[in-house]
Amino acid sequence: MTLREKIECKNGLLFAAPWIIGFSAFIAYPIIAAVYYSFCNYSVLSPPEWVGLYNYAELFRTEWAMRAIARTFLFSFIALPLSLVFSLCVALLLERRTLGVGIYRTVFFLPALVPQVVVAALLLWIFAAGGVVNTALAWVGLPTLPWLSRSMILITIMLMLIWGAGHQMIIYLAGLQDVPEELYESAQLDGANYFQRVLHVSVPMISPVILFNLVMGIIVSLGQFTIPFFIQASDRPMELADGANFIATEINRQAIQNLRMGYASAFSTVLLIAVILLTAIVLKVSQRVVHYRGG
Amino acid sequence: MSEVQQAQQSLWRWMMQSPWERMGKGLLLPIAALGVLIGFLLVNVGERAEHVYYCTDTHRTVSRRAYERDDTGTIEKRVRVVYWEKWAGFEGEAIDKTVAYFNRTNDQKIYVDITRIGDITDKIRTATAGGNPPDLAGLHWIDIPVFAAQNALIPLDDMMDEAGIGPHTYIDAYYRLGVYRDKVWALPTTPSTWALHWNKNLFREAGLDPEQPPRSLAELEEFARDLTKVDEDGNIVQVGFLPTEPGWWKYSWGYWFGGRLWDGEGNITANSPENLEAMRWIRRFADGEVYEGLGYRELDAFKGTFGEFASSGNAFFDGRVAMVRQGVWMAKFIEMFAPDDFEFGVAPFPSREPGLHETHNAVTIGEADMIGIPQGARRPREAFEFIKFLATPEGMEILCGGHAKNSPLVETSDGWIEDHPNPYIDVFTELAESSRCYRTPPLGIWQEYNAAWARTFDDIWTRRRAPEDALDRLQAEMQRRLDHELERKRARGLELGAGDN
Repeated sequence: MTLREKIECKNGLLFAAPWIIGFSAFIAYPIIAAVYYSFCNYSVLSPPEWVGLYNYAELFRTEWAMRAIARTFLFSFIALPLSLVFSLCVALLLERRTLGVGIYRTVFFLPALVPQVVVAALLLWIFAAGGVVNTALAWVGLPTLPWLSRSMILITIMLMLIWGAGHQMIIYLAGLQDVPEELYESAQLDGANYFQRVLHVSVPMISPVILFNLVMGIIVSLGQFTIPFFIQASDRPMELADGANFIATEINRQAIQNLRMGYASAFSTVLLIAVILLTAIVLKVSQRVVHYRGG
Repeated sequence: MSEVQQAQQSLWRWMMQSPWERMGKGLLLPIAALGVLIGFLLVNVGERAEHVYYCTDTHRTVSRRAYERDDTGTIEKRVRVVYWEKWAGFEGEAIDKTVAYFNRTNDQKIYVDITRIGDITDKIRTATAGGNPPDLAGLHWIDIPVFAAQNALIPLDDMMDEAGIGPHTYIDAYYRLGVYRDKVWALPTTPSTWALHWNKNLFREAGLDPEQPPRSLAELEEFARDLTKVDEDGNIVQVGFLPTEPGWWKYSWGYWFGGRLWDGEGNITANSPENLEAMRWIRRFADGEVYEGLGYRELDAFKGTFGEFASSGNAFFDGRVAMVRQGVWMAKFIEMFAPDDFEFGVAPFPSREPGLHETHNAVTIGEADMIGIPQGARRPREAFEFIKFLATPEGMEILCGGHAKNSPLVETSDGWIEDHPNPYIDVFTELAESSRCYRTPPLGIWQEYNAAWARTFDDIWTRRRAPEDALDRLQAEMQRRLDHELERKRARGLELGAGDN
């Protein structure tokens, strides 16, 4: 290594140091520590005791944990495609050059700026028995629904998730605006109608963006925490405690309430592995269907 | 030389400079200012680290400088005891008042510095684990076994002996809440027992004697049917009794059938015949056997229209539920949220076994908020002075009176019952002394067990599982967990806490 390379290396490391320190302290170390603690009995108040695979065995034979896993995956498999399709449809509508489109874009993006805690508080308020939604339904002569009951709480959370899908929409919009106009024109000359142009031009052209939203969506939906936690923490719908229990809320409950940091770490490790595996599968499958411009 | 080459050269020169050269001397002033700020903070932290407060004769805290300059002798130096407590609202005001009274009257030169915080268990646990806990911690009774099992609290036995405080000072049901492995880890502050609360106006409307509550479970069902109303469309408008309202303490129903949750030695008894009978009784409501044709779906839909507990939309306050099992705090909330003409009565909640409807033999659960000294507290002796103050009727009654609760102490001052804001305080006090006043099991895994009970109850209520099946599963899971915990404790040379459940 020449002197110049050494100096460059030193300077490079110096400039990258804040990130390296932050990453090591706040991301790498917690992940490594969580994996280690997942093999221990650890309650924070006393030193960890090595128990081998006990926490993992306990996790897979505990019915409530399996229910939380099943509920989270069910939620993700339904809510994620719905939110991807919904936000794409909205992006397609907002991409059209109509009067006041800027206002529409702002209005549809605004819910994404609302903090999740506020979204959860809103959910409890607007979907309450005498809340805005039921009042509106009654006003137009439709039957009211028990939105916050055990049987409907997942659907209600999905609706709130879709309502806040503005981030996905804005990314789609950016992708759509990047599609060369001549492709649409040539498709139009070939006699393609609007839906055919969307299906055969827009969607393939923004497939990398769809992939990005899908991967981010998997990570977010499997780690769904704030809204279910807020529902569990609110004292009114007590019976929803289990109905709204997801992997992340179960991890929090075991770690904070039951002081089972080791078990919670095992749960977190399983979630991490599941997210990595699913993302890897999606990326592998996407190689066949995602089109990158220029090959 | 082109502009691009010039720019490249200047960038290269900049990269060759040391960071100090790059920053230039212009940063000297900000760095010096930062140094001064850090120095100022260190001086102040240093003052705090002395753990003293300087108080005026009006009990206002002032700076050390003011103390040093004072030549009138009105400012005195006091030991600062840091106290974290969980209450808010009127309950918070009550502890503030109690602390202020202590600060005003104690002659030990102690100043209790109270901070009221939410999620107190998590924060005390984190602070204790981090080696910087408060001197006094207001905990929930269910936290005590968990904290004690980890030695996260200081045993109070020695200091209690010195102060003459012991089992004779407290009502037994409450005193036991702080005992684990034969040591006292915390002492009760504001206690409670549970009882049946009924709406006298609804009783009158239904043609029932408003002064005569149900004395058996059969009577409870009979009254509940009389008190239930359905409109022309078949929608429930009023229900006599709903096992899911308020929906707390789902683990507890077995106690009213003679059941227990633990045998006191290491065996979970979730699926005992008594607990099974209790869950079968609950299931009768869910199956529509108690209110003909109204099962859990209809009852859940009705419950979905209820407002929050602490609001005028509470179904008991607004007359949509006629009878509830609730605690001593209810009178205060009725005063705050129920209509002015709301009339209610309180009596022991009936049991399966006939004759257990008198306060001295009725079934109830005794709970209490607790106060303890976390392991690592810097001033445990001074902190205990405040606990000692709370062990006197003088101190305890300021607090419990403010909460409208009964006192956990055996001794009370004259007029305590007569002048109490809760008109039924005698019922709760007597219930605490009942031979069937139970406590939740002092198990390190209690939080898990409690949560598992709630889920099991929901499985039974929603008819997802038969009571037998649901309880067998609960039994197997929790016994496995308890066995594991016991094995760990034995490996560390610890014994399971003595006590009954």
